[in-house]
Amino acid sequence: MKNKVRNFRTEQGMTQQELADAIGVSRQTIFALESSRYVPSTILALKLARIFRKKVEDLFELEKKD
Amino acid sequence: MKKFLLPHRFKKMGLLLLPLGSFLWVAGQLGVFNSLLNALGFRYPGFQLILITGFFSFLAGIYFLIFSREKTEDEFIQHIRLESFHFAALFQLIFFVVLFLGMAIFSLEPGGESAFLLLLAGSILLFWLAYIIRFNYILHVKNRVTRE
Repeated sequence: MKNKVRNFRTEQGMTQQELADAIGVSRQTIFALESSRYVPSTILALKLARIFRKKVEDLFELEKKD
Repeated sequence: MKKFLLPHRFKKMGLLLLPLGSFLWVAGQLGVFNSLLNALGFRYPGFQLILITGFFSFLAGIYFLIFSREKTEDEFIQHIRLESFHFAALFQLIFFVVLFLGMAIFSLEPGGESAFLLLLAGSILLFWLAYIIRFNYILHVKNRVTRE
């Protein structure tokens, strides 16, 4: 699954640590998310969407292999 | 999974208790404290006390290291925990297969029933040690990569 977390984060001028603090996770989690090494839970996806004021579908995109 | 976890400060206690307990147990078995206990006239129950203290410190150390929270215990950390449990289970299974194949094919039998029981007890500890090593190694690698 691809995601646009890095794009939206940089658009809003946030650091990985700021985003991590905002949604209550570690910076490693944000890094793993942005590098597509980790697929978040629904709760985390909804929290990210709320922070960026976007829909979950705008943030995450299914790939053929999914 | 979070409800089974201890506060983060227990991890440091685990880091202290695990090597301390191992040292006490091994040194006690090797008789390192014998001359001191004899000199103090405390051979019994001093020897037993050292062995029991060492063994339970070791177990407490393992428990604290496995079940203490990380500073930020989030779902990614729990994902790594789960993967590490899988890894440890697979590692132990392979150990069992190799152990029993070795015994069956090459007739490598441990000396006596007590040695065999010791091997089985060791394989249980192997599970926890594999978990601790794998979990902390992955955390270390993730931390390093994130810092870079």
